[in-house]
Amino acid sequence: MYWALYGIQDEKQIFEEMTKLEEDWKKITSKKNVRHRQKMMLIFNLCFFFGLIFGIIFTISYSIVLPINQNDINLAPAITSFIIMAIGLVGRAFTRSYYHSKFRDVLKLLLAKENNWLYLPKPNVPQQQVLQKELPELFKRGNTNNKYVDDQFFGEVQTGKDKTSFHFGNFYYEIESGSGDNKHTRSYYKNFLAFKSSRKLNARFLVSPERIGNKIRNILTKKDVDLESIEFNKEFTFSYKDKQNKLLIPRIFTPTLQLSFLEIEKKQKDFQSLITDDAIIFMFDGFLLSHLKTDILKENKINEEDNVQLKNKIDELIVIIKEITKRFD
Amino acid sequence: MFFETLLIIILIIIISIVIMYNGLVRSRNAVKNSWSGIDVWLKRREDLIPNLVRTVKGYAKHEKKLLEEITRLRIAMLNSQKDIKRTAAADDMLNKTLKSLFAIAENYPKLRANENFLELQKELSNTENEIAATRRIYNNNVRDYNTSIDSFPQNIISRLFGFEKVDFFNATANERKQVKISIDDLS
Repeated sequence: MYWALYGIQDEKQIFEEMTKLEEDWKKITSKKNVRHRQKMMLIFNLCFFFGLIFGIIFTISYSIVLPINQNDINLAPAITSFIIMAIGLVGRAFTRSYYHSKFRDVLKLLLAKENNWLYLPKPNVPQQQVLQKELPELFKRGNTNNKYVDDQFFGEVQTGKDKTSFHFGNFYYEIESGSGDNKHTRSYYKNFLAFKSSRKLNARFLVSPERIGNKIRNILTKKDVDLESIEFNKEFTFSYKDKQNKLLIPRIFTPTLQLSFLEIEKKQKDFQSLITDDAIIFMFDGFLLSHLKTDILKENKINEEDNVQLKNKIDELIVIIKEITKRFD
Repeated sequence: MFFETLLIIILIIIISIVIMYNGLVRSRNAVKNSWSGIDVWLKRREDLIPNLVRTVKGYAKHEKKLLEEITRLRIAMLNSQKDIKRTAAADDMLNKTLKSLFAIAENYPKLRANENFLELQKELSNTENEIAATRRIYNNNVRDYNTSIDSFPQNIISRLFGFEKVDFFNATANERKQVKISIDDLS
């Protein structure tokens, strides 16, 4: 049984998606297809190689036998060798990027399977709507209808003697500005990582990067919370509704936690965290699974470095979870 | 026209002085706040130590010397609370001695199995982490405060209103030596 923020939309659908992806993967990695791909790559490599050799021969022959009249130089061989080389290079790059984009989801599927997690690659609009309704502090963003969550993982990680359930994915939204011909749409990708709390927290507050507007609003509404670290106070601000949460914040945000937040904020842009009754959710810019080292065209399994990198990122946040829940003991 | 311009300039100067003064007060308060944070965690550790000494004494009678050292360091800590440098020195020494105690505890299986001891060990290690974190925060705040006191034009305001530099929470070898002498005097 897997856990997700406000329930998994359709667990059966996830399994179907995963099976389909796996079948695609098997088809693409079948001997026939691999041979075809290798043949294509060989042709492009040969093109590049012959183009290069032809170009070198042309240059040498012209530099040894220098024409008396500059107008006598025939550029046709040079152009031909350049075109052959370019076909080789572009073809090679295109084939690689085509397969890489095709395998991107497969790669994540392998990562999920290796760790016994669930993986749902497809964009999910209804789930985004649920999250927007339940967690507006984080998911009420964008001013177009084009918003969804995708690339979602559901699973458990070992934290000491216990296991902690998590759910993470990408949140896509757009912000439209201007009108008429000056209309611009900017796309945003945020990463969210939610952990199920081991106990009921009876709290709800958001820790987000400090912006001048927040500071002024908090001072005016007497909601400003100053902790020990000047740096933390400069970088982060708290948003909450009632006084009970205001009293909770200094108790939870011990010096260790303040430093942990500052540490992560240096690595993850726009790092924010929402503490709710039964979950602690983090959100930050970009993709959690970027710059993967696994070359799916060369190896048939996940590069251990990618696994370690992802687990390290999760562990870093688990430290925060532990610190927060400890204060509710 | 001249009078109005002069008035505007004077007004700008006054506003700047107020902003700078408030900034310095805020920084000084942050330093005080983080110092009281250190104080809270140090007191928490001091409260845990007698309990720890009592528990260990019951199982490891041969470690009397080490336990006495911890007790003396605790008293030295209590006595040096107002002196930042001496507190830092005593904290360093107490931290080191507690680590030795936990290392020695490995030789006493019955002690290691004692739930009270395990709980105290967990609690103390958590407190040590918090002390280390507050120490870092305090030193960062002091660095910010001292830098603003030294920078122009805040240095004029700080001299005018008597803002003084604050010591960092770290000890030199000399301060550690002084604490050692004072705890030797206690025995």
